[in-house]
Amino acid sequence: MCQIVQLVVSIRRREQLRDVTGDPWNARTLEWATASPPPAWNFGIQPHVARIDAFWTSKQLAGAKSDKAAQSRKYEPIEMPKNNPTGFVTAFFAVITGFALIWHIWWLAALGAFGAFVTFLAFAFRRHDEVEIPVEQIARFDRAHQAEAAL
Amino acid sequence: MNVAVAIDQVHETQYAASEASPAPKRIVVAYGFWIFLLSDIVMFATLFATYAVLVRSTAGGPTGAQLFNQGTVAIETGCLLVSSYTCGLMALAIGSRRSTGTYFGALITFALGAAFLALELREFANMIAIGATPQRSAFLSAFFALVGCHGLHVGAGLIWLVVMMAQVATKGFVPAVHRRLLCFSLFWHALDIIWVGLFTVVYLMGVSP
Repeated sequence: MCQIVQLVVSIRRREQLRDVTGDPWNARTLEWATASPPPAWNFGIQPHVARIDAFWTSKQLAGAKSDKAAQSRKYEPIEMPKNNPTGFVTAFFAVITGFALIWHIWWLAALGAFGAFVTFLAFAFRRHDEVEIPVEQIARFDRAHQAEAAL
Repeated sequence: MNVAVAIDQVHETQYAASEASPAPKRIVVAYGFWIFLLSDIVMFATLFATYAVLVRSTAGGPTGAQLFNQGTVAIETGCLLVSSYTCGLMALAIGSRRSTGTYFGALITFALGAAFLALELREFANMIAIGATPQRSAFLSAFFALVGCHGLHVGAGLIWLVVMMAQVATKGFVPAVHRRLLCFSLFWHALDIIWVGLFTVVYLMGVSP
């Protein structure tokens, strides 16, 4: 019952409740350093972690030297795996195979396994599997989201 | 407060050594594959435990001593051990980017793996022909689950090897293909290790009184 109320309230008031800071609870650890909604990559620049709760430390120091840090930032292009539907398609064929095995429909089980295998081949033989995110895009994103840029 | 500062300093000196850029992709991929292999070994461990518990539960049906043919199993073991050696030779050829050596190593590895699988399937077929099916007893269910699962891995490994040779032929030794070949080599050696355990627990202990 409480869960239904919670769902209804969350959905009806989603516009007021939406978090755009990426750090709604003033958190201590680095997973909260990302923006909301998050970019495709994790960190524009690998954060320097010298002790536990690196995000907290950086927030404490941010007022003092964030301007200087922001100017001397040297971005590098980030390689990210390309989006692709392999997982979804494989899951589809796995469901077919699972269903067929439960009901002893052997030809359908073979068909599902074959479909998953062909999907795997398409995945293994594709020519471009990575996309490089250019420096300008990372820099533009970081400028727009200063919370992360403070790191 | 002072204590906290002191602890922070300790942390700083401790972590200074691990300050580095992200690990190279080859390391990350191999690490991920090791985790997969360990999860596979956990699965085999449960199958081994099941087999060990059920090995005496023959329900009046045939026992291991009556079913297992030591000669066939010895040849199977030989095939798999030598194929692990030729897989190592293939890895050396890959390391020095020699495609002829790679194909040759892969061919012998494939032939030995296929021979192993053929002998195992013939053994299974003979057992089923005399009524020793997985439905006959708990012992036979556990046997077919454990040995069959290993055989399935070998079959998947053979398909993987064929796919990898097609990739070497079409793409050459690009880094992605190189990493996959490295993973295949790890997989094949892991199967060999599991077979050594299987050979001991199922076949050697199965015929001892």
